[in-house]
Amino acid sequence: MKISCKKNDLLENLQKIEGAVGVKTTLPVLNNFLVETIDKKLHFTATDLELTVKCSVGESINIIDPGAITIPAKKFIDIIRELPDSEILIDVNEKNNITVKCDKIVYKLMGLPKSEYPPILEQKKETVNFKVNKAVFKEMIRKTIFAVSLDDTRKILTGVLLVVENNEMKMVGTDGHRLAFIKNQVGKTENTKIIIPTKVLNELQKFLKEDEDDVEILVYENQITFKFDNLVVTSRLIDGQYPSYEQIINRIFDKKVKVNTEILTKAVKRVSLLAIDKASAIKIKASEGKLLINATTADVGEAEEEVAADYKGEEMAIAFNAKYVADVLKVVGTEDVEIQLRDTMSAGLVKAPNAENYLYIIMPVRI
Amino acid sequence: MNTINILPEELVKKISAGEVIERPASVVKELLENSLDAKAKNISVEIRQGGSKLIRIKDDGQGMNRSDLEICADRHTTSKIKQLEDIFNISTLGFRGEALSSISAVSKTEIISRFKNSAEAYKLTLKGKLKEILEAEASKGTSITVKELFYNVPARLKFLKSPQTETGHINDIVFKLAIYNYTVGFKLEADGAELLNASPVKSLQERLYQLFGAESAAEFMEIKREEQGLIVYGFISKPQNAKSSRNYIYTFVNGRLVSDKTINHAISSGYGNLIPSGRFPLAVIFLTVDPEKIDVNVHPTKREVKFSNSTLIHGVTERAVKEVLVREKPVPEINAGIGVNIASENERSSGYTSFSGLPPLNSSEAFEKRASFIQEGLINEDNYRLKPLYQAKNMYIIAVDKEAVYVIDQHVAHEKIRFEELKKKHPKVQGSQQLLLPIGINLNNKGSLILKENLKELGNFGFEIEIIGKESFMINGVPIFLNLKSPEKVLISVIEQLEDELPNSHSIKDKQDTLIKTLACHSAVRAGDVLGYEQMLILINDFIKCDLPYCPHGRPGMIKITFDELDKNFKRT
Repeated sequence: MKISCKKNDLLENLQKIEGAVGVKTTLPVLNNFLVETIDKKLHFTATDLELTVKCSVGESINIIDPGAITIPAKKFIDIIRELPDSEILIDVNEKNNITVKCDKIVYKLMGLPKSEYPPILEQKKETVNFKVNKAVFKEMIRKTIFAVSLDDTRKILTGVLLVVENNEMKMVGTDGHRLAFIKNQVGKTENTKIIIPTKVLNELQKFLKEDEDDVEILVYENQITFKFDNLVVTSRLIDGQYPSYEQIINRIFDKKVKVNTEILTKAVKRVSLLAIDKASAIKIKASEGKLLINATTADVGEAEEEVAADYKGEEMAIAFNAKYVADVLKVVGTEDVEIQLRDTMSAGLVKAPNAENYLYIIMPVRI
Repeated sequence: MNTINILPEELVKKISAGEVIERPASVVKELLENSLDAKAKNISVEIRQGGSKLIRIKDDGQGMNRSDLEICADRHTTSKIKQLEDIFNISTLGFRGEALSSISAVSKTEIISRFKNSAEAYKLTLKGKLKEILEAEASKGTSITVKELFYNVPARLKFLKSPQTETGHINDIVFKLAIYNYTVGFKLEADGAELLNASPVKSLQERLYQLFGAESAAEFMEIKREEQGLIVYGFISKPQNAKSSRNYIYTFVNGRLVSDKTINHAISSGYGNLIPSGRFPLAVIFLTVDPEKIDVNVHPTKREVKFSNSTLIHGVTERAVKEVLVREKPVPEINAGIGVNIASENERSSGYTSFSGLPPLNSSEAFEKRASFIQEGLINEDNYRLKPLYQAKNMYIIAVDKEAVYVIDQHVAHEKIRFEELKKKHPKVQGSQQLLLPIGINLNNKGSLILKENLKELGNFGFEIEIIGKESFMINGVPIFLNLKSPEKVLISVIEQLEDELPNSHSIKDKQDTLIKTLACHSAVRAGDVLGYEQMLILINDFIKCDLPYCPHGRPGMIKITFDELDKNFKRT
């Protein structure tokens, strides 16, 4: 195989598959990525068997001789990154030796034949197929992914739930302490309910551009594929029964507080300086027209800040993990934020005022 | 006058009974083995007050006829061997002919039995020297009732533990025998409450499902290996489900429950470093050895065996374990933030690292840092004696002050600090993060007893636990200081620790210490966590303020090399 291309064209595409290259895998060939020429196009494939990213490049790469090879990914990408911004020639001989030439620089690398790479099986017909705007999808990921669990003992909570029903697409992330829910309209399609690992969503977040185009989502029996730009991203799904989130988001709250997002964010930050533990609880006291935010640590001291708020109702106090409050304030994206409460020991709800498509539920801390 | 006397037979019996019958659980074990040797299909055990008041074992085995019944409780009577040669070729569980005679020597015993094809049943009543045989009504099999154990041995009686503890021991025995004898149904009832009920099944796997529950059973991996006539078969847990005590390794050699160092060691070395030291797998291992190659007659309780070729036993067991681990590769996924270099991986796992405990220093979000366990804004470096220089291997902090260089184990240091903190705060109630999705857990009988006993104490630390069934619980709130660590694992580990230390101590203070130790360990930073400069600064300076630079379990946490020593070593003086 022999190809030539501009450094930046090559690097840009390699970076898209880099995230799927196996790290610490028991199958050494997964540390490589696969390059092959098919129909005058160059295809890059990387997989760790959970996540597979396929990137195809046509016009910007010049195929001199067709062929296929697997190349050590990390080494190769590091090399390309360091090369000057110039034309690169990649030549692979029949012994799988790879020569990379750029100006007066020559690298020689050992590759492995394509036959050693695990074959990526074509899936049977998908069960669900729908399209969603890239920017919308990216926002949905961003607003739910931070709430998922990092605890491997409850595998299902380490992923984001994706539900399609009644032409609505819903996503849910939870770690058992808080839950983020978002929904948007999609075109007519079959219903589905699946759990997507965060690894693939993190990759998608990186490469989903916020333009007008759509991403095509195909759901198979145990995997999901996203198609957009020149990428085909496939991930295994997490198997299991996701907890029923409907009950959680349909709780009833009788107290509503509206407060400026930025002012509240800053107050939470300042006060949590004195909530010393790494899981730091802050106390929020709501009374007519204001919120009082407070943190106390024995032997250290106390911090308190008053924030003007739109609240009419009886006085009440509740404690939350500061991190959980700060997390949602960071992504909510509106000037004001609405907090709904019930009592000291019941969950609180955070959302944008007058909008029901994004909801965030937090459980309190008993102190 | 003679100074050397021949002891009366009654006394001889009592003395030798002491070797075999240590506690109610030993009675249960001996009698269960008899029932199994009699080919029973269903065995039920009923106990009262930890077995000290009553033990009744009923089976549907082959039973005894009148003449057998008459002599069965005499010393050295057995149906299992007839001559010396047989002892080297034992395939039954019992053989010494001591069990019944020993039991009847220290209790009021009653045996009702009906021989397989016979129509009549007989009842034998034994009380000390008294022996009485009568006709009786009974279904096929044997039923043995042991009342007032040790009534005539007050010294033993005094050493019996609480009924709960003794019940626990009995439960243990029945549980273990039920593992191996999966084709036999077992039932255990203590003071009217059913502790165990496993109907006969066709495979070991089904029995493990009955005994360990669906969750654990699903995690088991089957092992199987045969070499030079030695067969190793069983199920082992995935490394990530390791337990903090060795109590969960069940070994059976030719159907006999044994605890053998060689086998334990072989299992551990089969796992290699997949399990950290101090943790142990859950394993059920059956070894089938030519009976001629083992000696089970080492100890009257038959807990120990001698192998004529222990190297082979070790080797085959180890290979059997290793083989399946290599094949199944049950290695847990590496969490972002643990074991990987966050600095370079930061981009990739951006959604993760920010709340995986301690945030990396290069995080652009100032808030992330502040929400951690230090308050950056309030730090005046001059107030701290020890200055961190470097975090080596994300495990050890290298630091200096005016007089010495220090190497500090970050986990030990933080664990010690957390320990002191929790101890100081105790018994003030700690913050409890309420759960959106309560977590259900199922425990075995022993575990649930321990949990129930410590419910209030655990509540003080922030564990809000609700009892929803005999052995089922719901976690509604978790200690806020545990952050996102898996709360059910921490809870189970606390219970295992308590279970481990329980036999040695009953004082409330020791229990609290165990609890605090375990919680401190689980809430501390781990080896592999990346620490920022300020975090290290606070950590090591808090650590040197602790009374002793050791972890609560006794591991050292700090190595100090004074500059004088360095000077000497570099021959500067």
